[in-house]
Amino acid sequence: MRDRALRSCLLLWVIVCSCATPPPAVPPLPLPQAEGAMTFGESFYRSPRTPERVRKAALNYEAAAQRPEQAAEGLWKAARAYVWLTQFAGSKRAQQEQDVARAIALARRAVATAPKQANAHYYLAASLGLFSQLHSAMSQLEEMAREGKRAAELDPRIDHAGPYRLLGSLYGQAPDPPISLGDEEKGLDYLRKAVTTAPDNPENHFRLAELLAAMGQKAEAKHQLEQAFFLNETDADPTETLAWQTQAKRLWEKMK
Amino acid sequence: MKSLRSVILPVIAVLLASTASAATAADDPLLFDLIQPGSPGSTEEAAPLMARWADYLSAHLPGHPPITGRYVNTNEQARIVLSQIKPRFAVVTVPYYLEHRSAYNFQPQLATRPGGRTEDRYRLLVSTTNPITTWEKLTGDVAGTLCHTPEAVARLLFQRTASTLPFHCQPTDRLLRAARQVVRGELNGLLVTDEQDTSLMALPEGASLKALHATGPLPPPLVVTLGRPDAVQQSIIQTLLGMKDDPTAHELLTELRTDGFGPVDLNVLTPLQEAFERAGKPR
Repeated sequence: MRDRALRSCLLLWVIVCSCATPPPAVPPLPLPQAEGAMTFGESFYRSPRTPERVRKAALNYEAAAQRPEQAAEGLWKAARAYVWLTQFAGSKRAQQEQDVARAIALARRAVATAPKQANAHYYLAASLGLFSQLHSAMSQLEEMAREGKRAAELDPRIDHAGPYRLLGSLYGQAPDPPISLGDEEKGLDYLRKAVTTAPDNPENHFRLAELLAAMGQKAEAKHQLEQAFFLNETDADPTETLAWQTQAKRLWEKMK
Repeated sequence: MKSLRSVILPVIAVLLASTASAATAADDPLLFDLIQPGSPGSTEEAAPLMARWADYLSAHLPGHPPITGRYVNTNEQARIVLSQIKPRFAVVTVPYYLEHRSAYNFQPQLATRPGGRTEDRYRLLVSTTNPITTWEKLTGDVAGTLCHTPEAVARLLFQRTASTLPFHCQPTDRLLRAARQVVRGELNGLLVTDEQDTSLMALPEGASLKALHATGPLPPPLVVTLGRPDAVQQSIIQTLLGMKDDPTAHELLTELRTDGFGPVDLNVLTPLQEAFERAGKPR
């Protein structure tokens, strides 16, 4: 998944808090048969995604994870599906809270099962960011940064340089110390790495443009935004694309 | 954040204005506000935390009345909230308190304890390469979150009105960016609170900054009522005061970044109010 989730979750920083309630335990759901579940999961998760299909994908991935040989893959893919649902399903808050709690729980299990699986760390970081957004709390951000860095160390190319994009958005948009760990220059470094690692991904250019604009570097911001609009993703999910493009168009209008 | 804020704030201002009449017409709703001009985020973004705080207070008041809390971080929002909605109490920064205490009849009731601090201190930082030794010789631009309330800060730090300072006080919500600009010579100074100073000094940039001027001890942000507190407000004050010793409030206080609430030190605040008024008189 293009992790558009990560950006919008970072939009909701709150200044006043530095600690949040730990995610609650989530009761297990009835799962489909493990046999063939991974294939069903992949099928349901295929673009164009809808909330109903992604929820089915999540359940199938969880079921697939019951088989030891595909436990890690099933877990991180289920976490990814719940991250998507939290962000794009348009659910009510209570459902979003459940989905993100489930994403965190599954991603944690994925990390425990396969500590060297970059996707596990990446989706744990993503879900922690979403949790921070929903609860207007920043206690999870240190862990989010840690997990994002671990994912970047293990494989920075996943999700079109997703770990760099995540870290860039995190450092670029979090409030500066003493409130949080924000550091625009660090964010810029990560977003430049994202663009270098996956130059064909338009969202990497958009995120870079966004931070450059915030830092007052408008000429380069415009250039990066043009790149974002120019690039055409063939495998992108329309819901996710619409989400970042809406923000990108707003930024473009503002910079005119 | 700044770009996001500029999109959201006009919407919030409209919403606040439109809810003002409804709120005052309601059956004495219990509203409170956390007013922190220049702090990042938005009312909407902070809503979940403020709701948790409101729920806590409601649960500890007789009859468990519904309470609503709001986070406000611009002067314009604060003006709308205080003049039209009239909260039952507000948490305000000391500069905001000093600038507006007469207009809204602020009565200090409690003091916050940010990071356990019982007092604050503001400092003017400059680059270590800057040869000047006195703030009177500083010109150009000086930045800081404190510049969102420039009049009070000018009077507290320099015993002058903002318009007579030899430099321009430029509001920012990106402290680290401003600190780096000072180090690079793009800004001439940085105004910081004690907590901001401590965090900057722990970063590499801190080695390139020095304090040129500082205030004496100042109170931390205050809990104020608008006028004398009634019985309900007294109950709220007692509840706030008891939070520090309530284990169930510990997490909430951590989120609010205060080690509970304590009495206001009038030995510090009263002379400060007098000094603030004195500094505003024509010389």
